[in-house]
Amino acid sequence: MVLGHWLGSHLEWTAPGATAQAASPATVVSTHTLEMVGADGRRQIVIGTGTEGSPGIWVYDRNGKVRLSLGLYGDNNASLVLNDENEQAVQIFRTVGTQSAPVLVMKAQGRDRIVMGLNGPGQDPFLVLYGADGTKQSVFGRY
Amino acid sequence: MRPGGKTAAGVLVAGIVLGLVLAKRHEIAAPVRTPVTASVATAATSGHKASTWLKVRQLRILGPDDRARVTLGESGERSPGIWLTNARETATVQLGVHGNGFPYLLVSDGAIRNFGLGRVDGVQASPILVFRSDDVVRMVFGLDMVEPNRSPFLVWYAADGAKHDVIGHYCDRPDRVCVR
Repeated sequence: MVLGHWLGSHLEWTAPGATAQAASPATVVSTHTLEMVGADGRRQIVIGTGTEGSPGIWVYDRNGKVRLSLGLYGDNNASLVLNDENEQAVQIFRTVGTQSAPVLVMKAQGRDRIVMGLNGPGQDPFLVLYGADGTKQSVFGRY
Repeated sequence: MRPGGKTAAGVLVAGIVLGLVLAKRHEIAAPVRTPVTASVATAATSGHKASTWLKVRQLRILGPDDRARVTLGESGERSPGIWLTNARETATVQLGVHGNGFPYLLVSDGAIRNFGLGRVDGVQASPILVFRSDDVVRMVFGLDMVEPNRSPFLVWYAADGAKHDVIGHYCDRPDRVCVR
């Protein structure tokens, strides 16, 4: 019996079909949350749904801060956000409002400095700049 | 062979067979070794499992209603991509690589008629940002797709289609062949 157990444990007697299945990748894997971790077990990427049930992908830095996220807001607008080391947004590329107007925002220290996109009923283009003192300069269009 | 020898041989063979059966049962009960199956099987019991890697043709992240909110996989152009959408599919975020090898990032409504699109385009693979409303391009920002030095440009279009060059020049011909 011991000999049989030893033989069974050390010899591959798997059926050919099963071997092929194990070697080939799965067709579809479904889950509610997927977390990718580094070699040290540190969280690097999370793919899942937020508290509002909206889908998102969050990319973390070495300090565990979210530096890049993309997904949908609770109002169903789409976004891509780049954060600084304090998880403050520095660049936001998103849609806004019920018309899903596309907008690009560049920020510094939490304040908007450049905003460009489409706005208003006509979805007309605009570009505005903000000085360090908050002074607004409209290059064209309205925002 | 003597009767005693036959018995001993029979016991030996039976023992080997029993050992093989036990070994096989152990294999079945042991965790499956492939990363994908191991990950899925363990996730079902503990909720958390770190697998070294996951090999899959398509990955779907499900919402509370078990419908796909995030999909990672291959597009119809046989290129990789990531698609995110809400429950009613009225909004979407997409990123990936087009069939021609150009990467893109899109934030849009569900019908993809209103959107912001970041991508590379043209023979020089210039980065551009396109703002589109109701399927009409209203603003484009990026680096020149024709000039060898790829100067920056910013152009916007009025409601009547009139083109306004703010910075540089944008070649808006579909074939990107512009005559200056």
